[in-house]
Amino acid sequence: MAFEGDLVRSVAEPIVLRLVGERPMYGYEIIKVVNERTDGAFEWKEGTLYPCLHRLEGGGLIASEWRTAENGRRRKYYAITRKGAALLREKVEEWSSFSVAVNSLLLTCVGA
Amino acid sequence: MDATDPIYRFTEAVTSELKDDAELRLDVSAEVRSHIEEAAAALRAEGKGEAESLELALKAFGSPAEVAGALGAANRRRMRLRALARLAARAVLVPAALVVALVVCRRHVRLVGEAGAWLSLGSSGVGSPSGGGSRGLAEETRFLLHGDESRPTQAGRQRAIWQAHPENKVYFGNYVTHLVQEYSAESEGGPSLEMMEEELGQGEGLDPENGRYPLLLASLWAERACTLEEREAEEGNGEPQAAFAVKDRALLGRAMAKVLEGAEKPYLRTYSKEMLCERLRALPPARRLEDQIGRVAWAAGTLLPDCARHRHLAKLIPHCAALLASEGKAAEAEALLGAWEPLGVKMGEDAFTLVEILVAGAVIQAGSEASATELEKLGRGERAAAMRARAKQLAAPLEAWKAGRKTFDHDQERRLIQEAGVLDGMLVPAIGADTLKEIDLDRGRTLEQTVVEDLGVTVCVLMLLAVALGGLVAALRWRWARGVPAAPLLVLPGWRTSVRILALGTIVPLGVFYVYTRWSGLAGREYSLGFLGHRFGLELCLLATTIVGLTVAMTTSAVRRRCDELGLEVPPRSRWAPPLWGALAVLWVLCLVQRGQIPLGHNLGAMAYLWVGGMLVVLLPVMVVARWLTGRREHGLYLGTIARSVIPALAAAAILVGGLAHPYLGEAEARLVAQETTLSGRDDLVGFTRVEALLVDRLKRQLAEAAAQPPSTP
Repeated sequence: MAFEGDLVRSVAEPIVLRLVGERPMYGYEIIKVVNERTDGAFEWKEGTLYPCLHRLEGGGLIASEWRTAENGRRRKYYAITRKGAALLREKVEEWSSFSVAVNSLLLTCVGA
Repeated sequence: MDATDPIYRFTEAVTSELKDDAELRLDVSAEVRSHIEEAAAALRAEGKGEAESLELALKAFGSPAEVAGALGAANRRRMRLRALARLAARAVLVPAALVVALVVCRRHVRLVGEAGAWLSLGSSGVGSPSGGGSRGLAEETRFLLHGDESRPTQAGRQRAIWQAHPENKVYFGNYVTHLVQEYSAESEGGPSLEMMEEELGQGEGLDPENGRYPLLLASLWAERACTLEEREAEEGNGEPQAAFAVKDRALLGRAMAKVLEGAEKPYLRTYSKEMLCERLRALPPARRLEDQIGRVAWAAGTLLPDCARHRHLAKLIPHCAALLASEGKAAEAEALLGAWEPLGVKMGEDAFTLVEILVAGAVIQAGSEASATELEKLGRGERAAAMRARAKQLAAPLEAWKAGRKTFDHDQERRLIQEAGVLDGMLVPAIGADTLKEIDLDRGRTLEQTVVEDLGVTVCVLMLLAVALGGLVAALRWRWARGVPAAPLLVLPGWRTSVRILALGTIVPLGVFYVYTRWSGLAGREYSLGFLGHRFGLELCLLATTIVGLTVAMTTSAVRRRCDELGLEVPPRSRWAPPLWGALAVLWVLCLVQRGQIPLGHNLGAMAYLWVGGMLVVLLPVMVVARWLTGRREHGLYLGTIARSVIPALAAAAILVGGLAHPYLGEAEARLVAQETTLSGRDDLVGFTRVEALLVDRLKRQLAEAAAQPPSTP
């Protein structure tokens, strides 16, 4: 099932924060992890991811660092900052309340 | 950067909105390239062909135009902030560093220029219109210092001061001093005898209790009325010969009457000290060494024309007494022969310089001996013996001081010269170690060391700016060089890295140097610049070199890493850096083991220290800039980027060094200068330096005590 672009974009930033909060990740890895965990439901294009990463970095929510992988390839890793972690906690709480509220409306209506 | 490379074309397209920030554009391009290569490699691993893998990877990224727009929007705020940071680095840091350099340098330019001007003023006497030391003073102060500068003669200028305050005895005395200085019995250009008689007569009216004016008049008349030529003692005849010839007996008689009149007056004052004090008080407070030097030079220019005249009078008196005796006027002769005592004692009371004290002593000794001899010829042997005893009593303090100078311990003198400042040390042989033992020598030495440290700060700031200028030249060289793919970037390290560079490159070396020189006891600051200047100079050169070297090395390291991330062609690390750091370390150790036993200027080893220091200061910037200028063409973008990016760091370091060390040293200098109150204009002024003041004060006190005692019996 493919989701609407606006819907995906609205949750892109909390998702990226969540992923780079687990461990430092580079762009290609983030795409892979998202696609794996959502079983392909979120088919993120890189064109969506990189502006999101740069916006977050510009806001000081994540920080980047170039590293050289074992195979010699240079990758830019992103890691969450303290500011980003605080915002992520807020977003998770917000999403939790929001999803409960939406579920209580949408799922009840469907059931009725 | 191959224009036919599809990834290059793609990254150029998706980063087109970032073109205003070359570094960010390169960074995003490198990231996108890395992603595409990674994605294509994964597709190849799935069994797809190379071209197909690349095409699919590019396609997965999305439309270049859309991605470019999204990346542009996402980075807009960041680009604005980064542009502001670059603007601040170029438009604030660099101009601020130039301002700091100007402030720091101005002081040393002033030190040289002002000292020269003050010294030339001192040599030509107070009131010289050529004096540069009075620039910027209020009109009223200038008038007090120079008088009416429109008048052709020095005496005329000084007369204007008195004319503005006709009741002021000090100003009149100052005018007469210059008048007497300009008067010459032989020359026709100066004031005439008639004018001198008129003005000195005016002085007697203004200051009737002052013996100066009658004595000066006596001196002028005697000069006109007789001649006295002294000849060296001949071989086998121990007595010096003198040829006394009378040209105008009547005038000589009037002169001798004036001598007696002047000697009987309550006091003998030239008012030179009072005038100097008033002028010193009118000057702005001394805050710098050059102010202090200027004051000494100013004071040293004080004219003392009375000394020679009084001494000459003291020599004439016995000859005039002999003349009177030959004319059968024994009582008049005897009265005249006693004039040396009030003359010498009152000169001593008025004295405020060592020269005047010495002349007073000469008047007492020479006058008394010749007078006693004449008394013996008159058959007054008992009085002659009493006169000799009295003269011995009065001359005892000076004799004791002179004897002390001959017998002092040379090792002690050497030690004192080593410990004293240059100015105090220069006076040791003249004044004697005994005097110097009584005062604290640290202040003069520390003051001079502080000024030289400030010079070291200036050298450091100039070195930093010289390397920055070299960086600008190198950046322009690679900007316009053929075959270099793009203009050099201005890469600003992150704020944490920048703080680390400034802390480790500037603040830590300054702090370590401070602790080393002030607290460690290893820096040999107990020795004067005259003995430890070579080591002191090398240490300051090493400090400047260390600050410049560390700032360049750490900034280069950070920018090199960044250039590597951005995919720029980076050359191998320089092989010269480790030996250079090793050489610096060796030189620091050499400074530590060198004790302050070498008199500067008398030893090739000492000069070698300064030569090495000077070479370091010159060679380091040359080597650094040469490295940036002479790399291979493919490394041009990297070398230009390094050279351009080091400029803000060097400017910030110059601001820190100049902004921290210069004010600190300035305050320390002002504090030390404020403690030197010898020439602050206090009424108890005795001497031009505290060493001289100590001696003159002691000799004056002892002479006054001796004069107050009843005459000793022979």
